[in-house]
Amino acid sequence: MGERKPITAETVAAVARENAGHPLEPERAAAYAAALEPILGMMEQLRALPLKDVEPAPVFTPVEGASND
Amino acid sequence: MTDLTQLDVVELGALIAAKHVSPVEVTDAFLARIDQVNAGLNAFVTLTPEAARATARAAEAEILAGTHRGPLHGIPLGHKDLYATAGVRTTGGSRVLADNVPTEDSTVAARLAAAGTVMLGKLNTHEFAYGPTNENSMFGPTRNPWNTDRITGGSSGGSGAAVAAGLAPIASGSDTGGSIRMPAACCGLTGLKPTYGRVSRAGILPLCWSMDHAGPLARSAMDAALFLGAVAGHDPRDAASADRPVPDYAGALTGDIRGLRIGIPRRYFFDQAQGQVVSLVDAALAELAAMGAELVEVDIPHIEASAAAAMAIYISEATAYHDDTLDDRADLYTEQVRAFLEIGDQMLAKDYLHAQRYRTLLGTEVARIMADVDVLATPGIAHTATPLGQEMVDINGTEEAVFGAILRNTEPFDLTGQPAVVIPCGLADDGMPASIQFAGRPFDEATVLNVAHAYQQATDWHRRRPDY
Repeated sequence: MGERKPITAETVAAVARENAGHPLEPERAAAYAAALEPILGMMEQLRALPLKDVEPAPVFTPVEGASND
Repeated sequence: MTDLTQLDVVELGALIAAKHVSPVEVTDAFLARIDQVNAGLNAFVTLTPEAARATARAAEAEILAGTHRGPLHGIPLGHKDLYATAGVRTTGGSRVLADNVPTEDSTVAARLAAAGTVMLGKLNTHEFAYGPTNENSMFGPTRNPWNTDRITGGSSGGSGAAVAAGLAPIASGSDTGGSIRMPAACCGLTGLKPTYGRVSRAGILPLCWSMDHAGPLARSAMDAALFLGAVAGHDPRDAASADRPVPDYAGALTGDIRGLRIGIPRRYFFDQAQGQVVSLVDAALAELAAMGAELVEVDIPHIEASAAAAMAIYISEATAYHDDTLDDRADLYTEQVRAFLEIGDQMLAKDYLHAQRYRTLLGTEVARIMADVDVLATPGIAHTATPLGQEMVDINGTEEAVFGAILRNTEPFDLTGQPAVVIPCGLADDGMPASIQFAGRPFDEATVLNVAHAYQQATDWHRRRPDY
């Protein structure tokens, strides 16, 4: 996996506006970029774990007994 | 004359069952205490005194007529303002739900009502349970009765302050990263997070579906066992509810821990806690060893990734839950909670799923260790309650964010879903409670409560009350 570049206010603003549908004021985008950087660092710790054959904890349970009545 | 507000549920229940006091007298005593001190603590945010007195009168009539529903009959309590209560405002501590009046009780509230409890009102919470200090709520911060300049811990901080200060003998809470156990630790109480699925989440505002747990903040392990016995059990309204038999928790508390093996994970849980907290926890462990328990050093591989996994899950699930409100009412949230929710828009799905895969990995490692020990013991939280508004805490010379440090020892057991209880084990030099945590095998609440009960039979830390 390539090295991650620090996230910028412009990226945060673009994701919020174009992906999430929650546009942000520039000041918020800048503040969130600063707050997000250590969080993204923590996510790198997760990506480095030995998870190759490990399934996620929540598993799907088919819903029984549903009807259209 | 005994001050009824200083008694625990077992003591009050015995007086009521023996008809030495009536539920009306007990309820009036707590309502008077609330009138006297709640304004300084900001614990109760909605009071229901007339309904409480009516319920207490009905309980009194039933008991006098010979119908005694059990140990909780006539016992007053408060519910965290995250729990739906029919006809009573339920805000989640947020202006988003300032006028929300549910038409139906949460399952826990309904089961406690059926057990004969008397609801006094609703208790302050960190907004939508999204924070560990109880500083951010539409009602303002809750104050710790041990020192009103300190945090109560959160998010069930109103519950912690109320039970510690004698505004209620027991209260409900919810725990996603430690939100029952952190206020229990900060306020000198017994806080139980049952196994995920043991107690229904139905009707409790979610923070994060896959990690939310419901349970009590109490004055003793026995009181917590009585609460758990009343609320545990399958609920078809909760998709995660476990369909398993409910044991007699109170009956399992023998106080006999001879031969019990207690695993001590020093790395992560002890070596990043304040020295004085560790000393008090070690003294508690020595007490348990003297009672016949065997202490075993253990190490949990990959435990250090807990905070990252919990963060990925909170941020993703909470933002999904609040997605529509963020569209047009984001300004109604407190600034801290709004920021967490909007930052959640930036989280990658793969990181959320890595976090959920980590839960399987961590659960497997912990299960392997717990094949050899009956419970794990750790400091409840890494430090004592910090001053309100203080963002950093000193831990052995290292400054660390309170929001990270306070969660460190509790959130691993929300990730694994296993039961965990926090109880007081001393007072630090700053006059604030220190605590020890016991975590057990899934659905073995009886053992973690029995260890706590054994310790409380031999010590009186759980009987200490703040001079407030």
